[in-house]
Amino acid sequence: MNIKQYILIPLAIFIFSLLILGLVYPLVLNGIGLIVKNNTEGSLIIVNGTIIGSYLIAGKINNSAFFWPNYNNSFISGYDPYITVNQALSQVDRISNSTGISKQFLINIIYENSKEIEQQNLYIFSPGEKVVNIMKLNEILIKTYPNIYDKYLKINS
Amino acid sequence: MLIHLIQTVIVMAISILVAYLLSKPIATFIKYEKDLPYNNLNKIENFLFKFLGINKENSMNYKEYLLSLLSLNIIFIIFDTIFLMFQNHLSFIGPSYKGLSFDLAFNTAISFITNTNLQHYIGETTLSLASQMLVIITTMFIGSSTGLASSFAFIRGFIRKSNSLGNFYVDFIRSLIFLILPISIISSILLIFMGVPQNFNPFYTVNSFTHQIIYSGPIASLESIKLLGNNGGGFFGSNSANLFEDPSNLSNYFEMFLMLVFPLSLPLAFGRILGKKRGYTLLGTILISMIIIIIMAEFIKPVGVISYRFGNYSAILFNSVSMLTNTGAVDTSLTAMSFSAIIAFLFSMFIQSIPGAIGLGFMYLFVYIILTLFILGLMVGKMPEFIGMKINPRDVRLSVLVFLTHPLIILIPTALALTMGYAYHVLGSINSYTYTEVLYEFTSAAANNGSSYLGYIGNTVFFNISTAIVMFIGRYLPIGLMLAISQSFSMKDRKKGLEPLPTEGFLFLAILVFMIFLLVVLTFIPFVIIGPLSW
Amino acid sequence: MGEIIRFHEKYNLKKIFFDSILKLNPVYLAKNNPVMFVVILGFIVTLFMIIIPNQIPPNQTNFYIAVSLTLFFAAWFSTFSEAFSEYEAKARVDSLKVFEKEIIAHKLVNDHYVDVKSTTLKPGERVLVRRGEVVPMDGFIIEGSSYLDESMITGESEPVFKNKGDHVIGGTKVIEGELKIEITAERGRSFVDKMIALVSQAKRPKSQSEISLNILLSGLSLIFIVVTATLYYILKSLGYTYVNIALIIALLVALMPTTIGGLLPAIGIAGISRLTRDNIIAKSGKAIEAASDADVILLDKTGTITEGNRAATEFIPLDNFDINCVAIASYLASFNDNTREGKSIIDLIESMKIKIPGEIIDIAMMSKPIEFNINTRYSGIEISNPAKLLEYIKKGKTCLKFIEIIEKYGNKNEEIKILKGAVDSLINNVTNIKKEDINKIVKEVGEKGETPLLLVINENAIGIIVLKDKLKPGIKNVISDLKIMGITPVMVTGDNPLTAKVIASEAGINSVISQAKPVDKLNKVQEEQSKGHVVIAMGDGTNDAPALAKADVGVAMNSGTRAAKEAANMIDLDSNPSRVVKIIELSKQLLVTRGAITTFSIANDISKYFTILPMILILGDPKIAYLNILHLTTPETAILATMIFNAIIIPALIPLALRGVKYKPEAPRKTFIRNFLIYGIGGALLPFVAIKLIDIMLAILMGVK
Repeated sequence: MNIKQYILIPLAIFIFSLLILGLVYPLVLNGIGLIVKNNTEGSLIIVNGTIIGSYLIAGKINNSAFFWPNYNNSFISGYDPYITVNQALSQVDRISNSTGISKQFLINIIYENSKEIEQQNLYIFSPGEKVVNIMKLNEILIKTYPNIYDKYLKINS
Repeated sequence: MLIHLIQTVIVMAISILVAYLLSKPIATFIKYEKDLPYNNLNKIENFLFKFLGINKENSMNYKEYLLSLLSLNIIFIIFDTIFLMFQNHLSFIGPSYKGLSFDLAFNTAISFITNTNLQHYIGETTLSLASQMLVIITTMFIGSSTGLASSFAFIRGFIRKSNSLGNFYVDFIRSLIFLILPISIISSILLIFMGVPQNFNPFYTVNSFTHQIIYSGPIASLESIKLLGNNGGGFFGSNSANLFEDPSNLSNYFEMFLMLVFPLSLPLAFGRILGKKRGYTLLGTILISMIIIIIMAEFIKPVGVISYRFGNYSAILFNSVSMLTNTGAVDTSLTAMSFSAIIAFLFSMFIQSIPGAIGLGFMYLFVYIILTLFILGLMVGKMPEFIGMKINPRDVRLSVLVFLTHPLIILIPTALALTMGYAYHVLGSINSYTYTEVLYEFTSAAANNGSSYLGYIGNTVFFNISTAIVMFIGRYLPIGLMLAISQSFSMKDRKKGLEPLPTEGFLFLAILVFMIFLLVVLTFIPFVIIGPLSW
Repeated sequence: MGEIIRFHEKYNLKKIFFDSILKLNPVYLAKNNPVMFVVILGFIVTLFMIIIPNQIPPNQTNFYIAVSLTLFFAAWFSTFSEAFSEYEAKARVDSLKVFEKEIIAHKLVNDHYVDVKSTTLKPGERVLVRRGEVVPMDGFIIEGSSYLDESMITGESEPVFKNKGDHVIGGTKVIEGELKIEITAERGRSFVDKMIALVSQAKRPKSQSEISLNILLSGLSLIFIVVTATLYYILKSLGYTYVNIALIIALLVALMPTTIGGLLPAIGIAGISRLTRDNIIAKSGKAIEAASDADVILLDKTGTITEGNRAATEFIPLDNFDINCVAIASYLASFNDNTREGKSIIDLIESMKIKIPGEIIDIAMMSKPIEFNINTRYSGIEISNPAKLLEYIKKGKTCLKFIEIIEKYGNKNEEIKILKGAVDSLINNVTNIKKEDINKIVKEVGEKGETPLLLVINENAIGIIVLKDKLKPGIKNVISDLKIMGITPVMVTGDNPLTAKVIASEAGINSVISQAKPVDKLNKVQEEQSKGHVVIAMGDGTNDAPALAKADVGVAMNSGTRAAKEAANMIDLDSNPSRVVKIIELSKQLLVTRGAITTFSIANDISKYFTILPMILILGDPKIAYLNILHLTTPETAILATMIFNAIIIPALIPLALRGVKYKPEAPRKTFIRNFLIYGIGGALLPFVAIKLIDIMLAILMGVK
């Protein structure tokens, strides 16, 4: 049995790997990631310095003033914030009734967001159907109509 | 329809293009087992080899190569098992989750070192960030570099006459340092730009119009090696279905590219050394077989929309590519897949080589080639030969053994799990659907794929230990046998001149595709008939 | 040997039957035929299930008996085909062996002869064989020469002349004279014995491809055993409670490659038997396999590519002699030359319609011959009566130029010699024309691959006789067949490179070893082998022995020397070197037959899955009916029909196994595509048709609607 070949060298590689792959590699990426800090942190939506969610993870929303996600494909953290444009449009009446925001505004932001997503997917990689991100839509609503939405955020509660 | 075709063609074209570029350094690493023809790389690697005590001049035969490979891998199995069992004491970054049971820790350790990444746990609520980094990310690199390195040794057997295959540690370090790690870093950065998080916060608590805990961590650094190394184990329990792992349809296609690039580069590297036409023939064999599988997967549409951000087509394509490359990542749950998709995935894993996982997939292709050439040779009245080398009874025996291993380690444990009541225990009832889940579990383990219906419900002593054994045998027994095949070829006389029946060109491609599917269908079709085909 | 074969071809069916039953012994099958071993085990298990109560549904006893019987018949058909082919092959070889039967031999012991039984003779011992007696054992002649009747071995009725040093085969008959023979082969180790060993499945050492094929078939069998065994347990747990071991055995046997497994021994034996039929003795199975695999073949020019003797084709006059003069001089110079070359000159004169007058023949008969010898390298005639010649010429008014020459020497009282021979041996004395002029013509002749002989009268060059090698009839086809099969022919000759090249290109050969010394043949064999090529060498001389021994396939002519035949691993009893294509074809045919039936067997499985599996499952899961694409009547008829097809396909293919799949020299690609279509696609489709038909018949027989 060649101790060097079958024990010492693999042990050396083991220690080397732990350092390089387990520590240095993620740390270096953390460093590089600082250029797009919002992305590295998890695409968080921050209002008045408080995290109110992430563009990428929708939570369960009961309030009729907001766009709701689909609840059929969940994961531990929450739900897919993407829904089809048609599903979003079907929520326009409910949100408008609940908040008084004009339907046209809601329809506009739906189509704008849908276009934005196509752009993010470099157009060619768009999914077959047009989709919107409800977290993005909700953020627009919160930021455009603070007087309506501030009370729902419970930031200080 | 058209947009999907264009997307598929683009991702395939880019994958092949980058695979082609990658095949050059790979071919160099295969050809120059001692000093590389590049001074700068030589300096870097010589420094590392000196530091690690590796002697370039020490070329190993297949037994030594396998033993070195096993030594390194077993060290990680031991470390990973211990670290996961005691992660509550060992983690320097939280959260301070409790240690895993021995059987789960052992299963996870084997799962990651064997490039399988079967996960009988939910990552975000089970593993500390320290475990994700030191165990999961690190082992993903080791498993995939081990696979790539062994394919270097394997191909070497066919290109030159010698009684050794090269030095495992040299091949391993080169695979890791010059290929997998740098591409991983670049891919991670691109993933970050596409929205994948990379931080050391285990979670955020949100209390606003929603109440939720958003788990995060160094996801980008895991995600790239997960796909590039055909590992497939997610940071999250829901894998790439979670938007933090795969935020958009663009990233979805990028991840498909990452899964394909190494497996597709090996036939091209082989072609660079042994004739481009031969390389393209093998690549063509792989691509045509992939198309057959993808058509099968997309053939019966799933019920409803299974993913809004990808669309059904892209979601299924991702899963198909993942099964074809034995990555095992999923961007939508398997439960959402139609029966034709599940059949396609099962066949991808039965075949294991179209293109299969990094390194190993290409090696498995040779088993099919040898068996095909043998029957082909008989049919034209010639003793079979491959690139001027005669295929002898020992090669046939070894190839048959590799081929035999797979059904053995899938079917016997499946039958055991069903008859001994273990499956009933976790699944509640046994019907054609739950039976398929069990069959899928062991197929995935045997093929070192890692996708699973069971997931965390598979966290029982029986499933943890049985799949661990299956993963271990499914990984190392074929590697050993295939290295022996390679060594057998490396010692053969090489005849110059025309092959009696060329092992390149369209006829050979067609025969090979036919034989691959024939052999696998004959072996496994009954289990598909009583499974997905009778849902 | 026709008579003998016909005698044996009256097959002893009783013996074949008992042999085939004996071969069903599981121990024998386990060793020799793993696939059939599993089948016979399946038969035993199902038999027990029928005998032991409560193992099968009581109302289905007949069905299970039928299944059990089909298993028995599948195995029995296999052993029958093996016994049958062994019997046939043995009969063929035995016909060679009858001449090795025990006879009384006269053994030389201390200067006198003792009569002993031929079976007691050992190598090195010497025997006397008198006129009309049979050679007791293989050996070589140490004294005497004789014509031998070898018709029992070669089928050639013409007796063969053998001399000191030649090999004689046990069983051949001395027609005249007496021979002293030294025995070379022990009983049981002669060529014929080696051949006999090859035709017994149990004793025959397996060739590489046979071993590989057995591994593949065992592997497939093992896979199907695992598949069906695990399927059994999985089905049980899925609620298919009625599925029992017998059904699983039926599925297993349907899937296992029973067709090729059953016919494999017969194919191998029949392949060797076909070689015997063509009068080729193979000493080992390895040689047969190597012949199928050959890349390079060394062919001797003389005797293989060309007729062996050069023949005169043309006279080229020199110094303005006319053609009649050259012919007359040639005639005189060749009058005493009994070699074929000499005769061919006379033939040429005749074919040119030049009449040689009686006077000239008289003169020739009275003159003194000058014999060819290795130092002078010419032959001819010394005119003992020049006056008579002169008189004839003057009277006949032909060849007036001769007058001058004859008078010149006659006056000096010198003898007149008319000679023909190698140009360089005669040219130095020539005075009438310049050497350069002769050399120019010589060169032209040489470039055409022909050999010039110079014809002179004393110092006067008269003309050049052109000799040419003649290709053997049919040799061009042989060469092109070899090339089509991917084999490179190499011509070996002692000729100069120029001549060699011309002959070679005429025959279609690109690779030539010219001015070859005996050792060159061996070197070429080694050189090609070092490139990984499989080499066939042929020969008949003792010089060839090392090359024959070294080559992968050494084919010796039966007419060759003892050493050559000892060194070779194949012997052509007909001594016809151009039959090598036949050897290669027969060897390839053996492999192709194995490959085709293997493909057929595996392709069968595709359809068998659809006929048997859905029908086994349909009782437990009626939904599966959609896989019953043939609409087979009931599970019982479907399973039985599949089993019956499985069994009867074996005897149905026995003729093919014995005859061999058709093979002709062609590009491997073509062979593949044809065999794939017939045995691959055909093999996948045939069971559908056959099983459906059997199913309909069974349904009618059993009265099921």
